[in-house]
Amino acid sequence: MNNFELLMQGFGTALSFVNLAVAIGGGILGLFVGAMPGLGAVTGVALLLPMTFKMNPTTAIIFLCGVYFGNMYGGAYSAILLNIPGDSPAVMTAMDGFPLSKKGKAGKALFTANASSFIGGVFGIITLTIFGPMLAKVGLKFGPAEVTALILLALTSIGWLLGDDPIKGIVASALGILISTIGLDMMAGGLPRYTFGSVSLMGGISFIPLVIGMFGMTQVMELMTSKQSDSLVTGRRLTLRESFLDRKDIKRIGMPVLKGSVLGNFIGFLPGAGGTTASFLAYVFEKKTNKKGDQMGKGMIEGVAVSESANNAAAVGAFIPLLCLGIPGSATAVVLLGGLMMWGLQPGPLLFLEQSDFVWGLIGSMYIGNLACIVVGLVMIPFLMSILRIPRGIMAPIIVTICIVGSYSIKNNLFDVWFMIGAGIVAYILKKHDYPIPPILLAFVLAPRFEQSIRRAFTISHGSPLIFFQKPISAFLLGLTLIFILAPVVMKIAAKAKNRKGAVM
Amino acid sequence: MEIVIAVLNIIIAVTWIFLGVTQYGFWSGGKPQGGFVPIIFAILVLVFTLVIVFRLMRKTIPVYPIKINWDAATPVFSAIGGVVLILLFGIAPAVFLFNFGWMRFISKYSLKRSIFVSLIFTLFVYAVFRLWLRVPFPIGIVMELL
Repeated sequence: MNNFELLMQGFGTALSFVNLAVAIGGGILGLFVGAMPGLGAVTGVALLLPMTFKMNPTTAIIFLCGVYFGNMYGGAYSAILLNIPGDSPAVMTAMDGFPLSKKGKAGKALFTANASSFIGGVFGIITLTIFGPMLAKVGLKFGPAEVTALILLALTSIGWLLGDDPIKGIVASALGILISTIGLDMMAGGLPRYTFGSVSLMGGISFIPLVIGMFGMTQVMELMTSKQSDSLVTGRRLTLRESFLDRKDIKRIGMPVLKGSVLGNFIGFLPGAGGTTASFLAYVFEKKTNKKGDQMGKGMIEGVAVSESANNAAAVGAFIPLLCLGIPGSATAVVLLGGLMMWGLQPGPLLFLEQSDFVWGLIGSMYIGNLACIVVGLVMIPFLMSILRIPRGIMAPIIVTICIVGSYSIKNNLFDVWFMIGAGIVAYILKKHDYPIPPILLAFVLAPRFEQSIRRAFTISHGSPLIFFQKPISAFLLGLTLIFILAPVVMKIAAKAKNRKGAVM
Repeated sequence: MEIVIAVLNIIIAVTWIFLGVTQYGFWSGGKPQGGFVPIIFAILVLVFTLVIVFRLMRKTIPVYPIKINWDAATPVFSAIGGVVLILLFGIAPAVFLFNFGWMRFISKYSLKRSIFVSLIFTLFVYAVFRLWLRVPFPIGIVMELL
């Protein structure tokens, strides 16, 4: 049977009453969990895993995929409405989504996020359907040297491109990496590193309390000091019709969505890269290629479109190495991998042959789940917009409560809550002094993979750095990194030279 | 304040370099050790923070005493109070008391409105985190005694 016939067979499995119900139900649950600040896809999928014990493997994975996709959609809601990304990939969505929200265009931003997520997701699923095995082969060529170069590209460009002061951006990125080194050094056999004798630091710094503190607490602190009106956004009640994009908007987001989908899908299937890298790189790419790139970060729908399409395309892309090779492409995929093994399935090349009902049923359900997510997501826009109409006097304690309970729920301990409060204070002070916050978080997320890859690459090459230049992909990525570093410097020198020339004339 | 941030960054960087070199190692047996990545990035923090300090020294900055912004500090102190309430009464009652206290005494809402909104939100938190996500809620020292 060819791929199309297998997909039709998969639709047969996915469209059974139970599977259809769990795909839609999972999508709705995922949207709520994703929209809840700080919970995110990994936590949502991990916490809902026990609910699948009584389901058959196909139904269970369809349910969890629904949650995963719903999460990817939902993460944008809190990012846009509250400037609190639901999960790390939504950090880039907040960059333009929240400024749009402040301009009173939250509806448009949410619609753009939903539409872009849908297109990115569908693009990813079509790619998975047609090119899955082939793309997996390309991804296989990414060894430690290539992954190192890819993450280095992401890390270097973070500092340069975010914020008004590149030097503070670099310091912020580097600080994010230093924070990530706290905990056990698994490559050294689990030796404690930078834990300062604290047992609570042995497990490392949890991302969720960090992100909740740096975005959630900071947001409330800014809310309390702002001289704006009582509610976050005032004005008329938003209707679904008002959220629709006009022809001009559709034209504006067309190319960014395409760029985000292609780039996100490609990055998503690379083992270890994931949605955060995808949305970040796609955002940076858009900032560099868009004529109004300098306006990004101030409230452009292109920024929302490119990051949302990229992270959804990456979410699907992460299934390629997971299903074909048994290598999870993202943190959520790690939880899904655990689930697959729990149900007695061994992900890898044989899964497509031996469990084709399962694999194609899952792929079929992705189309349905994605469709369900956009329908539910769009219907919920006016409902979720009402969050913004809640007065500040109610909103502030509610956000602080979600920050506290959300941080506590990760490991069920209060240490994370204390850490979250501390992270909030630090982030607020840094932000007030022009240190950008997203680079700290993105570096924190990418650093463990970076460290693992670079140490492995050096181990493979017996300490020779030539490994990064001998491999064409990593050499290309390092070249790009160099361009990213040098371009602003060269441009600055060129601008100075031009000014000097102008002054002389 | 800017100089305080720079000094703290320098302290962090020096600590990371020192521990990296003395305890985790940079390079051994032809491969990187546990201190390899932290040392490199701590050096980056150190170098670029010194650039920031140098920049600051070239500017004439008026020196102001460091003031606490009490509006911004409200959520911080409230959150600390919230954690204390959790330790004493457990999560569910603490959520109610925390929200009620904020709405009644900081936001100055009416007693009726404060109780109503706090109660609804507490039920929401309980339904989502305890019943749905099955997060174990501690009951607190006071509740345990009762």
